Amino acid sequence: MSESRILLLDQDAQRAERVATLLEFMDFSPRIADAADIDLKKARASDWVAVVVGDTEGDAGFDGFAQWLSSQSLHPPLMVLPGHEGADWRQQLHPESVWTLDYPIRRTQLQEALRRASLKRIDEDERRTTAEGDNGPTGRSPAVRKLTQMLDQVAPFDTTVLILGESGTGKEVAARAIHQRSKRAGKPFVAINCGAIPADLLESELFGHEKGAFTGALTQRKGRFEMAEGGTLLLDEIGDMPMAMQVKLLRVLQERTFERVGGTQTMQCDVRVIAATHRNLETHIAEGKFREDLFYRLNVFPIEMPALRERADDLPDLIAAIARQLTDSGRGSVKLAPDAVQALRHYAWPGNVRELSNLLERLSVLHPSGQVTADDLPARYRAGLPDTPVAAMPESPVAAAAAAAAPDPATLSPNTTLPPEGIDLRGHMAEIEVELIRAALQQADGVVAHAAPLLGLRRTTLVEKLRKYGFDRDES
Amino acid sequence: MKTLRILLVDDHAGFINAAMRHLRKLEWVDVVGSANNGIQAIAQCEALRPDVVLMDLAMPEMGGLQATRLIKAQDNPPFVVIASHFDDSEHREHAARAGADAFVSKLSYIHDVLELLERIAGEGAPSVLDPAPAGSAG
Repeated sequence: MSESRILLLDQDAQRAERVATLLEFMDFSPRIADAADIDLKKARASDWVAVVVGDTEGDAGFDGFAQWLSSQSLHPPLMVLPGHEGADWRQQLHPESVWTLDYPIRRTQLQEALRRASLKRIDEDERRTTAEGDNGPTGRSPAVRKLTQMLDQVAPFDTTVLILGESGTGKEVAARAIHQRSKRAGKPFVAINCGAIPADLLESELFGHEKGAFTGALTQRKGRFEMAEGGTLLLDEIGDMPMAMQVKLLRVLQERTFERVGGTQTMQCDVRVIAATHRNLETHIAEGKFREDLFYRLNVFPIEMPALRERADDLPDLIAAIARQLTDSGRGSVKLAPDAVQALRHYAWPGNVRELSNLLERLSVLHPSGQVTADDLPARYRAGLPDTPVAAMPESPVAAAAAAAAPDPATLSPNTTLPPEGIDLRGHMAEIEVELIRAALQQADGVVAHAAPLLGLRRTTLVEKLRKYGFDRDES
Repeated sequence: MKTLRILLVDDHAGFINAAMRHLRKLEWVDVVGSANNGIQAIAQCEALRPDVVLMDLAMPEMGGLQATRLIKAQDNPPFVVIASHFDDSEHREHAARAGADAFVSKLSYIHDVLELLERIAGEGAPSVLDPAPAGSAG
């Protein structure tokens, strides 16, 4: 992921040196080579983030190299210096992955090409890491079967879909599955995380901008709606979208038109929108942070992603699928001993499938060969094992405390039986949450950073919950 | 101010040396180690338990985003800062998704890193990706 190596094929040695120096200055690691010297049996296309192609006349290996690249499913872009117009080798490669560079090198052009290459690489790697790929959710539990059924049901129609669920439950996997099973499958799938982009940049990210629209807008740029034309756009973390943007989004959903930032021309768009969030949008509406009219526009077909702890029976299938993926993508292998799998079944998985995927990948790096036993797992994954004697508990006091405080809902709340008149589940869950947070804060002497691991939460998540439930300094 | 234990990760030795020279001047900073790719960084984090990792985005073998994801899977993971030559919303978005706590541009590295470290050392470990960095409940 985020590779720094660049292959530089240029028989013009002086120019090669010059370009290499420039690339080094831009934080890349160039390697000047003859294509003939590259051992294609050992090489992997993912070894380079880009290949710069200069003068290849007299480099006997170049045609073979180009052919080899074209046989790789994901290969780095070729950045081609002048002199290759209409060359035979170009026919073998997809034009989208052959980019041209001027010479003498123009800094801004090279910078932009490398920026795109970097993003292309990160995107491809991220795709490879998505444990479940385009095939949809893995598992045979009733929760997954119901989910798959819903995805199949909604996919063929252009309905707006709202995917809800905790972080890491695979909301993007579900969105991709909908796209793949729809008639838009051959068109782009574009995702944007509304929460990760500064509010003042979000509009231009979504709708693009014209040259000079604001300071820093040096060129005209397409937004994600335009990039997704004909396909599907996933608006992830829609609950974090600022109110001002929500109005603009509502208009696109209603009228299917928008303008670029700084532009006057109204653009038509044909994009299926899927929105996702881990937040409770109804609460956001009540707090005035989310527009009710937008919510109803999005909430046409809501899909709730099951948390991993609600489908622990899927763990073996998931572990097998992720391990296979790691091996297939050449990122190592991992094999779990039965006691390790057993331990994982007792863990609450606050980070859901993403957390499982990260754990397995980490284990494959730290234990490249051999079987991983329960003892090799980070402490928090062992803490839930019911038959582990306390003496054998991990060195980390925080994890041990987490085990001691492992919530058995029945003991914490007298109301886990459903009264005949029913209950307000959301409110009820919130009460349980508040009780546990208060207990954790007490145990951690009010230090949020220490209370968070007791709850299996990230500190930032806990801070957010404190804000949501209106805890103030005195209380914590 | 508490002492911050820092791991430096970058594939360019020159960059590590330059960062080291600046950080050594600060008595509340202790550079406990360095690594030149993501795989080493994961092992070093496990062994050295730093408070903060200053992580290059693009490196051979394993880059900074993947390493961040995997470091965040350890017990009590460190605060991870991604340093990138490219500073745009897409790279920032990827860093946030990988679980990084902060993002700095390599073009203003020392300035941004020092500001960040001062804040962390002063306040515990606030995430600068928080919408409103809060020490309020802590």
